[in-house]
Amino acid sequence: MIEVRNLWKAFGDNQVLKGLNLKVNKGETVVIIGRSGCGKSVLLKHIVGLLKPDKGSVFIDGEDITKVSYKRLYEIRKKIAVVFQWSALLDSLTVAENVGLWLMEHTNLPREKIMEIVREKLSMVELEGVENKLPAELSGGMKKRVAIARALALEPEYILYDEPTTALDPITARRIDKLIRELQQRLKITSIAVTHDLISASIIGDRIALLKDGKIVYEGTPEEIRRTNNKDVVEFVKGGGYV
Amino acid sequence: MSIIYKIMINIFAVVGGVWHILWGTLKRLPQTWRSRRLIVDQIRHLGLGSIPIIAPTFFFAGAVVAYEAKFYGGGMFPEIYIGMFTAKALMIEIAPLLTGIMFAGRAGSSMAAEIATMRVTEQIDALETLAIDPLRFISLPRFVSSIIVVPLLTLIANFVGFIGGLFCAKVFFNVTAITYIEGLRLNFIPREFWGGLVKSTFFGMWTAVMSVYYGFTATGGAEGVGRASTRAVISSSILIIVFDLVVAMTIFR
Repeated sequence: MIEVRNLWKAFGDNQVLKGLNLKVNKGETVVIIGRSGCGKSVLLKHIVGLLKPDKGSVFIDGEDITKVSYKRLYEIRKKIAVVFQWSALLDSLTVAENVGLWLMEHTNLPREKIMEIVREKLSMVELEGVENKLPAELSGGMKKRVAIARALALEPEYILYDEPTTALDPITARRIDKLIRELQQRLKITSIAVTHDLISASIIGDRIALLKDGKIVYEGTPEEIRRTNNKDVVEFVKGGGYV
Repeated sequence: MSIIYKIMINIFAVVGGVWHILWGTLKRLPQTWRSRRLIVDQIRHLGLGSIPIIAPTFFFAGAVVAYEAKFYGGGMFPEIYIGMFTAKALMIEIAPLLTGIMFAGRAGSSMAAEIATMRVTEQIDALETLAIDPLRFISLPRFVSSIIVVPLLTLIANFVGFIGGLFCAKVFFNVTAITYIEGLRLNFIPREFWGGLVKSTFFGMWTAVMSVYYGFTATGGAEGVGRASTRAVISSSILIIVFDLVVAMTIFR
């Protein structure tokens, strides 16, 4: 389980998070929505320990990662995979090396076995025959799928998605949404996604939380989000032209 | 007052950051074998890529030294001294210093730009989330390969410089190859030779450390990458000159 308690973070004079609370149960997918620059990615970076909060705690399976040593944090990170907004594939490595990087670094598996796993993960995201390509040779949608395959290679307990459909055309975006949903249902991985794409949020999320003014101001199922009269949700949804 | 305060804070931040990279990388040296593949890639990239620039430069640098040795001798010194002056000038100063500066310009800017791009495109964050230590994965291979490559390039620079000097002595002053080579051997002091190589090891080290530091601390987009690259070259060039003096004062006493 992931639990964020009373999280505060400022960058200079800009107070981004103001006592944010969030709980994500095992096997659940929560989508954080909110306007650009509201702190969604900042929240995600706190959950994986890339940023230290000014105040507050982040619990992963009951362990407060804001208080553990770097060594312990690295151990905890082995349970969490992140799919970054712009995929963040290592430019100098091939697709196969990117997907197999975690296995090469943290296991003693022979190269043939790693390649077998790499091919399996790539086929899970419907990519085949691209093992020897460099990231620069792939389209945005393909990069995103390779990033998801890299995340799956860890066999993680948690996956965090940062804007999974940013800069993708609508058809590719829906394909990625469907893929994420299918993988979650098949592998039962607890997931958190941040996005401002409401269609994407309603496809992949079991629960949607609206982040505004540094706090979660509303939480509900996609259906509840559609029907609520909550002022903040209505403002965000109408502003998005969703209804 | 506030400007001085800000400058002081910035200086302490840079010194602290550079120390963090240097000490952090030194602490990871025992993991060198684990990173051998990355190191070999860097040696190939930084070393082989620099040879086409180093070789012609030092051919002419050697020729210039030989020409000026003759000029400053004003016809009063025997021709054998042309070889000796060329050898000493190249070994002690010109080969290590010029190689260091050229390495900082070519490889330093390339390293800083590559790492800065990794920073601004979240590739370094991705490494962190994969529980891969960025200092071990990024800094260590560049550090180790730089301290191997720069002395090797300095050796090549010495050799090509001697050839350039010979060419000049032969073509312009009609000095025979035997006289020139005898000059190289004349008053040869081994400390001068390995002293130059020790210097170049420090030059490689500082180029790697400053490039990694400015790469890691890059912010923004393309502009941030360009800024990191420029700062890496300027700072490593300055440190190269400073450590040229420090090492010279330590070795040539």
